[in-house]
Amino acid sequence: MSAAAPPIPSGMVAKARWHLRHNPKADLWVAWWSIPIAYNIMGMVYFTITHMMPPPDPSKSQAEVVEFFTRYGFEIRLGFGVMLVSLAFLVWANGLIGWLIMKMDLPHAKAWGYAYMLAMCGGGFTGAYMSAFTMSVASLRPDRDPAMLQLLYDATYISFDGTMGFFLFGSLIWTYAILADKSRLFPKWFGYTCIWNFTTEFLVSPAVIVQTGPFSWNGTIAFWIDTIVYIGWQVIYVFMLYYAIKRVDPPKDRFRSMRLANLPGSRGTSVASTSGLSPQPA
Amino acid sequence: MPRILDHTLLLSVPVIGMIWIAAFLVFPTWTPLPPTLSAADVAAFYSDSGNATRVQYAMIVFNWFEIGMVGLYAMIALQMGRMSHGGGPLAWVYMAVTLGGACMFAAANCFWIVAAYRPDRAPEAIQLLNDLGWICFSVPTGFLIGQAVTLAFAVFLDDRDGRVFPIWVGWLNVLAAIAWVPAAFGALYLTGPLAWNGWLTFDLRIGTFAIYNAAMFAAAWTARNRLAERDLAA
Amino acid sequence: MASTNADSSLDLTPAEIDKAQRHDANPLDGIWIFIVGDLFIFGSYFVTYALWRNWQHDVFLSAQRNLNLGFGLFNTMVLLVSSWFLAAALKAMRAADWDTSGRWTLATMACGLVFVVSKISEWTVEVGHGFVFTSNMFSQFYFWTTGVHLLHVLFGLLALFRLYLEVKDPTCRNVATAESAAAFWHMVDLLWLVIFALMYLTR
Repeated sequence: MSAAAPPIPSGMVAKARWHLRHNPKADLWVAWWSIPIAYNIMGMVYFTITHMMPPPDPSKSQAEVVEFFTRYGFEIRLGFGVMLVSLAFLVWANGLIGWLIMKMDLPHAKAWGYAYMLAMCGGGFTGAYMSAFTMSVASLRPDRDPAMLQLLYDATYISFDGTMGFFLFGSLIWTYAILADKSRLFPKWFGYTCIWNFTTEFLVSPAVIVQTGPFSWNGTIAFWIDTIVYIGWQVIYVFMLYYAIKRVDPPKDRFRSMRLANLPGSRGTSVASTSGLSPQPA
Repeated sequence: MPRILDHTLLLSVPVIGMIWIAAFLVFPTWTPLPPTLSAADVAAFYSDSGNATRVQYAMIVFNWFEIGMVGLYAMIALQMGRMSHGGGPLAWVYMAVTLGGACMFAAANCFWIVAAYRPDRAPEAIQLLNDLGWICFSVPTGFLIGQAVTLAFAVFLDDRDGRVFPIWVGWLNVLAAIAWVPAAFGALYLTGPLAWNGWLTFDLRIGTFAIYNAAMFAAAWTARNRLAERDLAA
Repeated sequence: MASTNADSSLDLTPAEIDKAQRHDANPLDGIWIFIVGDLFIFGSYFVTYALWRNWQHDVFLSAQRNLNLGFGLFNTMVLLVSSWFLAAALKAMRAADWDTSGRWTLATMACGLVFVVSKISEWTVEVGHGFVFTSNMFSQFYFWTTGVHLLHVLFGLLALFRLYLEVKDPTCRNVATAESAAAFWHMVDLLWLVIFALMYLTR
């Protein structure tokens, strides 16, 4: 924060403006806020609007599948519209976590951070989007051939469960980084609990084989226990990110002197001196 | 090396833009197939050898150049790295989101190619592929919205005393993001402005996309030149 | 904070002091939260198993005959012995006898590897007899639960390997890591005992 920053004003809006203007971690905090907001929107879409979760029975007959899409058709398409608007903001969360991994004290931290971002974005793009398309297309014409509706129904849930590898690797990378990080940006016990997050990806795999019982995609183990563990872990994770952002050094503004050098000479130098930061050599 | 070649990355953008427009003109209809067409009508559209050939050629060209705007977006991400929060995650987020948009377009592209590939398939199946193609093409504007909001946010956070992009770039991105919101609901109705051939979902989205890319090209070009001048002066 | 530390004789920056305090401040900063949670998660799997066993009692009883009690007993013994070896490794470590400790750690890992090989052979034999994941509800539970357990054994082997590297390297010997790894390994052993009792013995 520069020495020239005025004191924090009172009042919500003025305060927010102050932070956007002067808080060197403003981008990190906004990315952090996007996590609870985007996950809540997603939870609302999946559980209340589209009725996609908790998942319906995989062994539904074709007639029941037709009935499902006929009854919830409009809600499904509306819900996925809401999700498609907001889902890209989950990339902010991936960017934030990947960036925090880069700040850790471990060998090749930058590469670990990039690896995390790539894996998680890949999973989000394929898992969430493909199921949104197949679900929307199915509910768009419930009068389609029932066999095709069933195909889309299976494709929805299997593509939703079937992006195990991306999230598996993403959270494996994060887990390793937390445990190997000498600066302890995240506490070690949290690193251990991240093991749950990527094991759930292993544990969901029988859902693409069986159609009934606790291991099917609506089963006690493959859905309910997995989801409860995941949501519980998610709550811990949001708090852990909060403390990590508090601890981490703010992003460096490497190009400050360069930007100021773009301005007509005298003004640039005066701004640099009043802000208390000495221009660094480019 | 000729000076103009310093700008190869950005100069590829208008060239690829022209190619996109050309491929768009090759596609048999300049407005989307109406969603209300029956399965038999859709099958007949793809069985018509003239239509099928034009779909295929247009899609081959789109397939070649579907990631073509990557030069523009990578250049913008580079400029974001020079902003006052450039050390943070935003520039990377911007790049990842642009990749998502290109992936979704690639999926739509494949569905159309498959629809035209074996037109003697059951009409129901061709209609399904056609639906998947148009939905994948029209609906995932979330990536474009994410892209615009991320860039707008970075521009607004940028140091007022030495902006990399002028403030109008931020407002342009906000407007573009708003203009892309209705298209996300393009699967809601088969008729009206929100259907995939309606003006909110198709015309507004494509028009905004064209204007957005042209304006961002100009912005990136200017920001790039300013930096080049600084390098010369140094 | 900077002013109080300024006259300290320690030549540390405030950031370094903060880091060092963080390192030791949290007594929970080990594996215990994970172990408690994992036991709860496994507990919920066992409850689900028990419910389905009640609902499909006959299916479970007849399917259980496909299991080889000899393999089960052997695996149990291997894990029990490995836990004993690891306890010996920890005892040597607390006495700062690092060479002995390293040898016991290796012996523990050898037992773990024997378990992995034995478990995979057991599966191979069962699959060879036509007893596969999709055979019935019992086989689903059996392959899945033992699979998740095997995954834990593999994680445990990784932790032991890390422990072995630390023991060998005088610059990073750390009893805290050893205790975490040992706690995890004993938990894996305990879980196997429950699985053995539930799947092989309960008739």
